[in-house]
Amino acid sequence: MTAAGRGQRHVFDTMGTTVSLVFAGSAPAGALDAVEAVFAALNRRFSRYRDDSEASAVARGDLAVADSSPQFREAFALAEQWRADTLGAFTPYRPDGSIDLAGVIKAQAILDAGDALRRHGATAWCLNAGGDVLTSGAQADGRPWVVGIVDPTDRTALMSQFTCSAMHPAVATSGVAERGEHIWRAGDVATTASVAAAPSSPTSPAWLPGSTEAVEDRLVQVTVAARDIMTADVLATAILAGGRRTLEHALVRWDVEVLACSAAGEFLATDAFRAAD
Amino acid sequence: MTVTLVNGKITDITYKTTVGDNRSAQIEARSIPVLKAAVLAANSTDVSTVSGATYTTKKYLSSLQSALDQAA
Repeated sequence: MTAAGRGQRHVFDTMGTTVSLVFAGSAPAGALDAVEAVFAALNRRFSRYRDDSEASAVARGDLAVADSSPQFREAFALAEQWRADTLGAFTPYRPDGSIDLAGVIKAQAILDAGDALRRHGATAWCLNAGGDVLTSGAQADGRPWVVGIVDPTDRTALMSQFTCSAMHPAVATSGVAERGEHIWRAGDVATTASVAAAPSSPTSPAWLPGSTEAVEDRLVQVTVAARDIMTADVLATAILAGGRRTLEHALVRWDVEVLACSAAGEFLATDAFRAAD
Repeated sequence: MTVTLVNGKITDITYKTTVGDNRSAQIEARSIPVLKAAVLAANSTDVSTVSGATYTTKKYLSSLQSALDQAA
Protein backbone atom coordinates (compact mmCIF):
# COMPACT_ATOMS: atom_id res chain seq x y z
CA MET A 1 0.00 0.00 0.00
CA THR A 2 1.39 3.41 -0.92
CA ALA A 3 1.79 6.23 1.58
CA ALA A 4 -0.85 8.20 -0.29
CA GLY A 5 -3.30 5.32 -0.13
CA ARG A 6 -2.80 4.53 3.52
CA GLY A 7 -5.00 7.30 4.80
CA GLN A 8 -7.82 6.54 2.38
CA ARG A 9 -8.32 2.79 2.07
CA HIS A 10 -8.98 0.52 5.03
CA VAL A 11 -9.50 -3.23 5.11
CA PHE A 12 -10.64 -5.38 8.03
CA ASP A 13 -12.13 -8.84 8.61
CA THR A 14 -15.54 -9.35 10.21
CA MET A 15 -18.61 -11.59 9.88
CA GLY A 16 -16.51 -14.25 8.18
CA THR A 17 -15.70 -11.91 5.31
CA THR A 18 -13.63 -8.82 4.55
CA VAL A 19 -14.67 -5.18 4.54
CA SER A 20 -12.97 -2.57 2.34
CA LEU A 21 -13.64 1.09 3.02
CA VAL A 22 -12.37 3.88 0.78
CA PHE A 23 -12.62 7.56 1.55
CA ALA A 24 -12.53 10.14 -1.24
CA GLY A 25 -10.67 12.41 1.17
CA SER A 26 -9.10 11.62 4.52
CA ALA A 27 -10.96 9.60 7.14
CA PRO A 28 -12.43 11.77 9.94
CA ALA A 29 -11.04 10.94 13.40
CA GLY A 30 -12.93 8.09 15.04
CA ALA A 31 -14.84 7.12 11.89
CA LEU A 32 -12.99 3.86 11.31
CA ASP A 33 -13.32 2.71 14.92
CA ALA A 34 -17.04 3.47 14.76
CA VAL A 35 -17.46 1.41 11.57
CA GLU A 36 -15.53 -1.55 12.99
CA ALA A 37 -17.57 -1.37 16.20
CA VAL A 38 -20.85 -1.54 14.25
CA PHE A 39 -19.80 -4.75 12.48
CA ALA A 40 -18.32 -6.30 15.64
CA ALA A 41 -21.47 -5.72 17.70
CA LEU A 42 -23.82 -7.25 15.10
CA ASN A 43 -21.39 -10.13 14.54
CA ARG A 44 -21.31 -10.92 18.28
CA ARG A 45 -25.07 -11.07 18.55
CA PHE A 46 -26.13 -12.61 15.24
CA SER A 47 -23.40 -14.95 13.99
CA ARG A 48 -24.54 -18.57 13.82
CA TYR A 49 -20.92 -19.70 13.57
CA ARG A 50 -20.19 -18.32 17.05
CA ASP A 51 -21.46 -20.72 19.71
CA ASP A 52 -21.70 -17.88 22.24
CA SER A 53 -23.96 -15.65 20.11
CA GLU A 54 -27.60 -14.96 20.87
CA ALA A 55 -28.44 -16.27 17.39
CA SER A 56 -26.86 -19.65 18.22
CA ALA A 57 -28.77 -19.82 21.51
CA VAL A 58 -32.04 -19.24 19.64
CA ALA A 59 -31.10 -21.78 16.94
CA ARG A 60 -30.29 -24.43 19.58
CA GLY A 61 -33.64 -23.81 21.26
CA ASP A 62 -31.97 -22.58 24.45
CA LEU A 63 -33.58 -19.16 24.03
CA ALA A 64 -37.09 -18.47 22.74
CA VAL A 65 -37.49 -15.59 20.29
CA ALA A 66 -40.02 -14.07 22.69
CA ASP A 67 -37.32 -13.98 25.38
CA SER A 68 -34.56 -12.68 23.09
CA SER A 69 -33.17 -9.14 23.11
CA PRO A 70 -35.11 -6.26 21.53
CA GLN A 71 -32.37 -6.11 18.86
CA PHE A 72 -32.86 -9.76 17.97
CA ARG A 73 -36.64 -9.47 17.85
CA GLU A 74 -36.37 -6.33 15.73
CA ALA A 75 -34.07 -8.03 13.21
CA PHE A 76 -36.32 -11.08 13.13
CA ALA A 77 -39.38 -8.88 12.50
CA LEU A 78 -37.50 -7.09 9.71
CA ALA A 79 -36.56 -10.40 8.07
CA GLU A 80 -40.15 -11.64 8.39
CA GLN A 81 -41.40 -8.44 6.77
CA TRP A 82 -39.03 -9.03 3.85
CA ARG A 83 -40.26 -12.62 3.61
CA ALA A 84 -43.80 -11.30 3.23
CA ASP A 85 -42.79 -8.53 0.81
CA THR A 86 -40.90 -10.96 -1.45
CA LEU A 87 -43.77 -13.47 -1.35
CA GLY A 88 -41.59 -15.96 0.51
CA ALA A 89 -38.57 -15.84 -1.79
CA PHE A 90 -36.46 -14.34 0.98
CA THR A 91 -36.56 -16.35 4.17
CA PRO A 92 -34.97 -16.08 7.62
CA TYR A 93 -35.22 -19.83 8.07
CA ARG A 94 -32.78 -22.56 7.17
CA PRO A 95 -34.29 -25.70 5.63
CA ASP A 96 -34.00 -27.35 9.06
CA GLY A 97 -36.41 -24.71 10.37
CA SER A 98 -33.91 -22.81 12.51
CA ILE A 99 -33.72 -19.02 12.32
CA ASP A 100 -30.77 -17.51 10.44
CA LEU A 101 -30.78 -13.72 10.17
CA ALA A 102 -27.54 -13.49 8.16
CA GLY A 103 -29.60 -12.34 5.17
CA VAL A 104 -30.44 -9.04 6.82
CA ILE A 105 -27.62 -8.60 9.32
CA LYS A 106 -24.78 -7.85 6.93
CA ALA A 107 -26.94 -5.25 5.19
CA GLN A 108 -27.93 -3.84 8.58
CA ALA A 109 -24.25 -3.55 9.49
CA ILE A 110 -23.47 -1.75 6.23
CA LEU A 111 -26.46 0.55 6.76
CA ASP A 112 -25.46 1.32 10.36
CA ALA A 113 -21.83 1.82 9.30
CA GLY A 114 -23.00 4.37 6.72
CA ASP A 115 -24.91 6.22 9.43
CA ALA A 116 -21.81 6.15 11.66
CA LEU A 117 -19.69 7.58 8.84
CA ARG A 118 -22.15 10.41 8.28
CA ARG A 119 -22.25 11.15 12.03
CA HIS A 120 -18.49 11.54 11.91
CA GLY A 121 -18.78 13.98 9.05
CA ALA A 122 -17.66 11.68 6.23
CA THR A 123 -19.65 12.42 3.07
CA ALA A 124 -17.69 10.74 0.25
CA TRP A 125 -16.84 7.08 0.69
CA CYS A 126 -17.34 3.59 -0.71
CA LEU A 127 -17.95 0.71 1.71
CA ASN A 128 -17.70 -2.87 0.46
CA ALA A 129 -18.55 -5.73 2.85
CA GLY A 130 -17.91 -9.10 1.25
CA GLY A 131 -19.09 -7.95 -2.18
CA ASP A 132 -22.05 -5.80 -1.09
CA VAL A 133 -21.48 -2.11 -1.63
CA LEU A 134 -22.80 1.17 -0.23
CA THR A 135 -21.50 4.48 -1.55
CA SER A 136 -21.88 8.10 -0.57
CA GLY A 137 -20.97 11.17 -2.59
CA ALA A 138 -18.33 10.79 -5.29
CA GLN A 139 -14.66 9.98 -5.81
CA ALA A 140 -11.99 12.59 -4.99
CA ASP A 141 -11.87 13.77 -8.61
CA GLY A 142 -15.66 14.19 -8.73
CA ARG A 143 -16.41 11.08 -10.79
CA PRO A 144 -19.17 8.83 -9.44
CA TRP A 145 -18.30 5.57 -7.71
CA VAL A 146 -18.33 2.70 -10.21
CA VAL A 147 -18.94 -0.86 -9.02
CA GLY A 148 -17.56 -3.75 -11.08
CA ILE A 149 -19.71 -6.89 -11.20
CA VAL A 150 -17.86 -10.20 -10.93
CA ASP A 151 -18.29 -12.75 -13.72
CA PRO A 152 -19.95 -15.77 -12.04
CA THR A 153 -18.01 -18.14 -14.29
CA ASP A 154 -14.63 -16.49 -13.66
CA ARG A 155 -14.07 -14.71 -10.35
CA THR A 156 -10.96 -13.04 -11.71
CA ALA A 157 -12.99 -11.21 -14.38
CA LEU A 158 -15.66 -8.52 -14.39
CA MET A 159 -18.77 -9.06 -16.47
CA SER A 160 -20.37 -5.64 -16.07
CA GLN A 161 -20.39 -2.49 -13.96
CA PHE A 162 -22.80 -0.09 -12.29
CA THR A 163 -22.35 3.64 -11.86
CA CYS A 164 -23.71 4.70 -8.48
CA SER A 165 -25.93 7.73 -8.06
CA ALA A 166 -27.88 9.43 -5.28
CA MET A 167 -30.91 7.41 -6.45
CA HIS A 168 -29.00 4.11 -6.49
CA PRO A 169 -26.02 4.31 -4.12
CA ALA A 170 -26.22 0.64 -3.07
CA VAL A 171 -25.25 -2.49 -5.02
CA ALA A 172 -25.48 -6.08 -3.77
CA THR A 173 -24.79 -9.40 -5.46
CA SER A 174 -25.91 -12.87 -4.46
CA GLY A 175 -24.49 -15.90 -6.14
CA VAL A 176 -23.79 -19.56 -5.80
CA ALA A 177 -20.14 -19.16 -6.79
CA GLU A 178 -18.62 -18.36 -3.38
CA ARG A 179 -20.84 -19.31 -0.43
CA GLY A 180 -23.91 -20.82 -2.06
CA GLU A 181 -24.94 -22.84 0.92
CA HIS A 182 -26.97 -20.03 2.47
CA ILE A 183 -29.33 -19.65 -0.50
CA TRP A 184 -32.54 -21.60 -0.12
CA ARG A 185 -34.72 -21.70 -3.22
CA ALA A 186 -38.36 -20.65 -3.27
CA GLY A 187 -40.61 -23.66 -3.00
CA ASP A 188 -37.99 -25.58 -1.11
CA VAL A 189 -39.79 -27.46 1.60
CA ALA A 190 -37.08 -29.68 2.89
CA THR A 191 -36.34 -31.63 5.99
CA THR A 192 -32.83 -31.93 7.31
CA ALA A 193 -32.69 -35.46 5.95
CA SER A 194 -33.53 -34.46 2.38
CA VAL A 195 -31.04 -31.58 2.49
CA ALA A 196 -28.34 -33.98 3.52
CA ALA A 197 -29.35 -36.31 0.70
CA ALA A 198 -29.48 -33.62 -1.99
CA PRO A 199 -26.54 -33.47 -4.38
CA SER A 200 -24.26 -30.49 -3.96
CA SER A 201 -20.87 -29.28 -5.07
CA PRO A 202 -18.77 -26.21 -4.32
CA THR A 203 -20.17 -24.43 -7.36
CA SER A 204 -23.77 -25.61 -7.21
CA PRO A 205 -25.60 -25.70 -3.92
CA ALA A 206 -27.97 -28.45 -3.03
CA TRP A 207 -30.85 -28.12 -5.50
CA LEU A 208 -33.59 -29.01 -3.16
CA PRO A 209 -36.86 -30.74 -4.01
CA GLY A 210 -39.79 -28.43 -4.61
CA SER A 211 -38.13 -25.99 -7.03
CA THR A 212 -40.27 -25.50 -10.09
CA GLU A 213 -37.68 -24.14 -12.51
CA ALA A 214 -35.59 -26.28 -14.82
CA VAL A 215 -31.97 -26.46 -13.65
CA GLU A 216 -30.71 -24.42 -16.62
CA ASP A 217 -33.22 -21.62 -15.87
CA ARG A 218 -32.04 -21.29 -12.30
CA LEU A 219 -30.13 -18.11 -11.60
CA VAL A 220 -26.52 -18.42 -10.54
CA GLN A 221 -25.84 -14.76 -9.83
CA VAL A 222 -28.06 -11.74 -9.24
CA THR A 223 -26.95 -8.12 -8.79
CA VAL A 224 -29.39 -5.48 -7.55
CA ALA A 225 -28.78 -1.72 -7.37
CA ALA A 226 -31.17 0.14 -5.08
CA ARG A 227 -31.72 3.24 -3.00
CA ASP A 228 -30.58 1.44 0.16
CA ILE A 229 -28.35 -1.53 0.89
CA MET A 230 -31.03 -3.53 2.71
CA THR A 231 -33.30 -3.50 -0.34
CA ALA A 232 -30.41 -4.31 -2.68
CA ASP A 233 -29.10 -7.17 -0.54
CA VAL A 234 -32.43 -8.79 0.33
CA LEU A 235 -33.72 -8.59 -3.25
CA ALA A 236 -30.50 -10.04 -4.69
CA THR A 237 -30.93 -13.03 -2.38
CA ALA A 238 -34.67 -13.27 -3.03
CA ILE A 239 -34.34 -13.15 -6.83
CA LEU A 240 -31.53 -15.72 -6.78
CA ALA A 241 -33.79 -18.02 -4.76
CA GLY A 242 -37.11 -17.22 -6.45
CA GLY A 243 -36.02 -16.89 -10.06
CA ARG A 244 -37.79 -14.88 -12.74
CA ARG A 245 -41.11 -14.61 -10.95
CA THR A 246 -39.42 -12.90 -8.04
CA LEU A 247 -37.43 -10.71 -10.44
CA GLU A 248 -40.62 -9.50 -12.09
CA HIS A 249 -42.27 -8.94 -8.72
CA ALA A 250 -39.25 -6.89 -7.58
CA LEU A 251 -39.34 -4.71 -10.69
CA VAL A 252 -43.02 -3.93 -10.14
CA ARG A 253 -42.61 -3.09 -6.48
CA TRP A 254 -39.17 -1.47 -6.05
CA ASP A 255 -37.11 1.09 -7.94
CA VAL A 256 -34.17 -1.19 -8.68
CA GLU A 257 -31.79 -2.11 -11.49
CA VAL A 258 -31.06 -5.82 -11.88
CA LEU A 259 -28.52 -7.99 -13.69
CA ALA A 260 -29.12 -11.74 -13.44
CA CYS A 261 -27.31 -14.68 -14.98
CA SER A 262 -28.80 -18.15 -15.40
CA ALA A 263 -27.11 -21.53 -15.16
CA ALA A 264 -27.39 -21.78 -18.95
CA GLY A 265 -25.46 -18.52 -19.35
CA GLU A 266 -28.48 -16.40 -20.23
CA PHE A 267 -28.58 -12.82 -18.99
CA LEU A 268 -31.52 -10.80 -17.73
CA ALA A 269 -30.77 -7.10 -17.53
CA THR A 270 -32.60 -3.87 -16.85
CA ASP A 271 -31.57 -0.69 -18.69
CA ALA A 272 -28.63 0.30 -16.48
CA PHE A 273 -26.90 -3.01 -17.22
CA ARG A 274 -27.47 -2.94 -20.96
CA ALA A 275 -24.91 -1.62 -23.43
CA ALA A 276 -26.01 1.44 -25.40
CA ASP A 277 -27.39 0.47 -28.82
CA MET B 1 -41.89 -13.69 -25.49
CA THR B 2 -40.28 -16.39 -27.59
CA VAL B 3 -36.62 -17.22 -27.27
CA THR B 4 -35.04 -19.29 -30.03
CA LEU B 5 -32.16 -21.48 -28.97
CA VAL B 6 -29.73 -23.16 -31.34
CA ASN B 7 -27.17 -25.44 -29.73
CA GLY B 8 -27.88 -23.83 -26.39
CA LYS B 9 -27.28 -20.29 -27.65
CA ILE B 10 -29.93 -17.62 -28.08
CA THR B 11 -30.31 -16.77 -31.76
CA ASP B 12 -33.54 -14.81 -31.68
CA ILE B 13 -35.92 -13.18 -29.23
CA THR B 14 -39.39 -12.05 -30.25
CA TYR B 15 -42.04 -10.35 -28.15
CA LYS B 16 -45.78 -10.61 -28.21
CA THR B 17 -47.67 -7.93 -26.31
CA THR B 18 -51.14 -8.75 -25.10
CA VAL B 19 -53.53 -5.83 -25.54
CA GLY B 20 -54.76 -4.64 -22.13
CA ASP B 21 -51.76 -6.15 -20.40
CA ASN B 22 -49.46 -3.18 -20.75
CA ARG B 23 -48.14 -3.34 -17.23
CA SER B 24 -46.83 -6.87 -17.49
CA ALA B 25 -45.45 -6.08 -20.95
CA GLN B 26 -43.65 -3.08 -19.45
CA ILE B 27 -42.16 -5.14 -16.66
CA GLU B 28 -41.17 -7.91 -19.03
CA ALA B 29 -39.47 -5.35 -21.24
CA ARG B 30 -37.50 -4.03 -18.27
CA SER B 31 -35.81 -7.35 -17.62
CA ILE B 32 -35.58 -8.86 -21.09
CA PRO B 33 -33.05 -11.58 -21.71
CA VAL B 34 -30.01 -10.15 -23.44
CA LEU B 35 -27.03 -11.69 -25.14
CA LYS B 36 -23.78 -11.41 -23.24
CA ALA B 37 -22.56 -8.91 -25.82
CA ALA B 38 -25.53 -6.68 -24.99
CA VAL B 39 -24.63 -6.50 -21.30
CA LEU B 40 -22.83 -3.28 -20.40
CA ALA B 41 -19.15 -4.19 -20.26
CA ALA B 42 -16.91 -3.25 -17.35
CA ASN B 43 -14.21 -0.66 -17.88
CA SER B 44 -11.69 -1.79 -15.30
CA THR B 45 -9.96 1.58 -15.12
CA ASP B 46 -13.24 3.17 -13.92
CA VAL B 47 -14.03 0.57 -11.31
CA SER B 48 -13.59 1.63 -7.65
CA THR B 49 -14.87 -1.53 -6.02
CA VAL B 50 -16.23 -4.98 -6.88
CA SER B 51 -19.61 -6.58 -6.16
CA GLY B 52 -19.94 -10.35 -6.24
CA ALA B 53 -21.16 -13.32 -4.27
CA THR B 54 -20.02 -13.07 -0.65
CA TYR B 55 -16.49 -14.32 -0.22
CA THR B 56 -14.87 -15.74 2.89
CA THR B 57 -11.97 -13.93 4.53
CA LYS B 58 -9.66 -16.53 3.00
CA LYS B 59 -11.14 -16.19 -0.49
CA TYR B 60 -10.88 -12.41 -0.23
CA LEU B 61 -7.12 -12.73 -0.58
CA SER B 62 -7.49 -14.01 -4.15
CA SER B 63 -10.39 -11.71 -5.07
CA LEU B 64 -10.46 -8.78 -7.47
CA GLN B 65 -11.43 -6.57 -4.52
CA SER B 66 -8.22 -7.55 -2.77
CA ALA B 67 -6.24 -6.66 -5.89
CA LEU B 68 -7.94 -3.25 -5.99
CA ASP B 69 -7.27 -2.67 -2.30
CA GLN B 70 -3.59 -3.48 -2.74
CA ALA B 71 -3.24 -1.25 -5.79
CA ALA B 72 -4.43 1.78 -3.84
